[in-house]
Amino acid sequence: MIKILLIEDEKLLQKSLKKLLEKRGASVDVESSGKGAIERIRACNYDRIICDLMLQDISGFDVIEESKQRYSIGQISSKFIIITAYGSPQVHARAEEYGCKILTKPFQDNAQALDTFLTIEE
Amino acid sequence: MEDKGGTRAEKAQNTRLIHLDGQLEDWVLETINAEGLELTEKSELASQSYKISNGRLFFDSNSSSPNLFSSGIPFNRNNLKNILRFNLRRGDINLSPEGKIKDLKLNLTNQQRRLVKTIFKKHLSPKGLDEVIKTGDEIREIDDFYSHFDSIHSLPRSIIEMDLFRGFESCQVIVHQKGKMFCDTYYYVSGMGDQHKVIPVESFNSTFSLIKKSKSKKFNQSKLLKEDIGILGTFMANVFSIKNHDIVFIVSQNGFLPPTKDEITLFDSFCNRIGSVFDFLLQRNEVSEKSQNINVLLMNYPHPVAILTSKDQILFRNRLFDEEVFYEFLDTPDRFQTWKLIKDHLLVSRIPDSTKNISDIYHYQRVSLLGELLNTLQHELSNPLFGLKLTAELLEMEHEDEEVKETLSEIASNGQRCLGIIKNFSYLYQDENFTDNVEIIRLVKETVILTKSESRQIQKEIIHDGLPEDFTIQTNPTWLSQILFNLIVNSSQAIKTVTENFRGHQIVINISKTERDLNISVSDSGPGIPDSSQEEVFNPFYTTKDKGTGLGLSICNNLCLKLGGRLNYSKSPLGGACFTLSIPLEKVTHDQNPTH
Repeated sequence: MIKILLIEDEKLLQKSLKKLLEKRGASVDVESSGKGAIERIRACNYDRIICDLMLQDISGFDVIEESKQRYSIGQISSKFIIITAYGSPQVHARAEEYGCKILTKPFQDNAQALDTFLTIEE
Repeated sequence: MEDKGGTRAEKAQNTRLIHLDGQLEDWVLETINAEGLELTEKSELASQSYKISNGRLFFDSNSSSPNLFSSGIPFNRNNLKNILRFNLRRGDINLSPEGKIKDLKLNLTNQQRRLVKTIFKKHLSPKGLDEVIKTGDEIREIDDFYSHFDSIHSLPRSIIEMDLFRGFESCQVIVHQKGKMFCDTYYYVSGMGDQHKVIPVESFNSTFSLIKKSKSKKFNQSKLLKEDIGILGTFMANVFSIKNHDIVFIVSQNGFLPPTKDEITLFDSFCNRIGSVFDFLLQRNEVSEKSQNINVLLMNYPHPVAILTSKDQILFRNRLFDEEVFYEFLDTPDRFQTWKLIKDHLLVSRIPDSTKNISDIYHYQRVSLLGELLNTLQHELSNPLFGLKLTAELLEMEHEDEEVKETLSEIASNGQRCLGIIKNFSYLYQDENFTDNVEIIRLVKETVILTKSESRQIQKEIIHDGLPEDFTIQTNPTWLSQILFNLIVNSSQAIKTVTENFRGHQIVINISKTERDLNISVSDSGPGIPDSSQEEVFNPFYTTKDKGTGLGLSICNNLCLKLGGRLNYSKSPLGGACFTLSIPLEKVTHDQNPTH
């Protein structure tokens, strides 16, 4: 079973995505704050971390930076998927630096987005 | 001769003296009449002297002062006309007994109006300016000795032509303004005319110190074999240091005999006097350069400027200060700014229309604020909307009750619509220099939707014959959309001015392409633009709307130029206005972009 951490501060979105992912058979932890997410990443090993960029306390990139303590750069690029409603070229460029996938909200195609979340490349 | 009573300036203001050849009499009268003036009385002084007057004396002819108009110009049939005109236009005339054009505006005779018109039509008067500036600087009275010399350029000639220097062939004056890398040398040889050269300061310095050290002040070329000294054989020389200038002064007979004792005495005594002439001429030269600079500055000043006397006579005006501006000043002096000059002259300039710049800035501030706002909204709204939509979809799937399902589906699709609007908005407000492969037809459609609040009920049609739906060009979508937005809103508002029933009215947007350009025309069935205003439509502040700023089309035009294209107006076959935007299919390079 794929173990997913979903970092998203918009509650409705958090609930729905959790539900959709669970329907597809994943186990999903949810987290609203960046700091809480960092705690969870330290405590637990996830196969996939879906991270919103604009969180209330810190940014999604800060979470990724902190995760470097636990994961290698290669692991970060395969584990993390960034979701953002603010897809500026700068954001895309930064995501590319980490080698992470980035999806803009709203998703063009929900099913496709779920596929992306659930596909783990070795 | 100077009139000893009163200062020169006072005299110059009150009277003008002309000396007429009997043969010219008729012709002068003709000119004076043509200028709308009268020659009222003959002077008692001489039969060939006249006072020319218009209610009050302003031209007086007096045989002793033939050159008060301008120094040294002999009168003849050809230049008299110009001289007369010069004085007329310079404002030496008083147009009414009180001397106020202000009062005159109401009761100008046709003749006088014509005169004012002539003054404005034909003449700009930089010389009037010279007068003001010159009298503003203290220039000492010219005594007999000074009157021999009128400029530093012709000084060598004037010296050689003096009786004192009979037998001398050449004269050279080299002037170095302290601090400059070059010197001016003014040089005259009988029969060869005035010459002026610029020489480097090094050459000047060695000559200067050599002459300074010499006691006899006698030289010959073997000592000063320099190209820059254009003198042959022996010569006498002296140096002067005055305020900001060092000067070398040389005279020569261009012979090989050394100068006699008498000649040296003559030269020495001449040198005692000529020093102050240098000072005077150089000072005058500076004043004239200064006045030239001020003249150029004022002439090119981007707002109307004039110098008026206390009696509202024009001494100087630049091109923008035309008749209309002048009357505007007389009517509404509040709109003008004035500075007092010497002799109660006034420098007058219309206060630049600051509202223009302010609203331009205001506009751009608004646009950039809007951009920022949209970026924030994009995140702050689209995230929760997405949540709403996703949750509604999810719940819809889980629920059995048809009515609830329908409601949830409604919520989801409304969320989707809102997301779409936000996305389109933010696409339209990208950064300044953002260009993208823009799907033109989609952009036009989106822009039309954005104009909905203004164009509601008016039928709109988008025609793109021969262009595929997904046709793209590389351009700035924000600007393009803003241009179209403005044009469509303009068309809608124009239609609304003529009718409250919009049925039958329409706006047609035609998209087509030529070999090089993409053309998008927005035409409407509104009232159109009156023929008389067609040239003004792109000017800022031109508006036909009650509440318009008149900036819309001007901004459109600017944005068009930024896109490397152009905006043209024509009459629409629908009866109203048609604006056609042409932008190049190939993206313009930075160089061609007029804004950079």
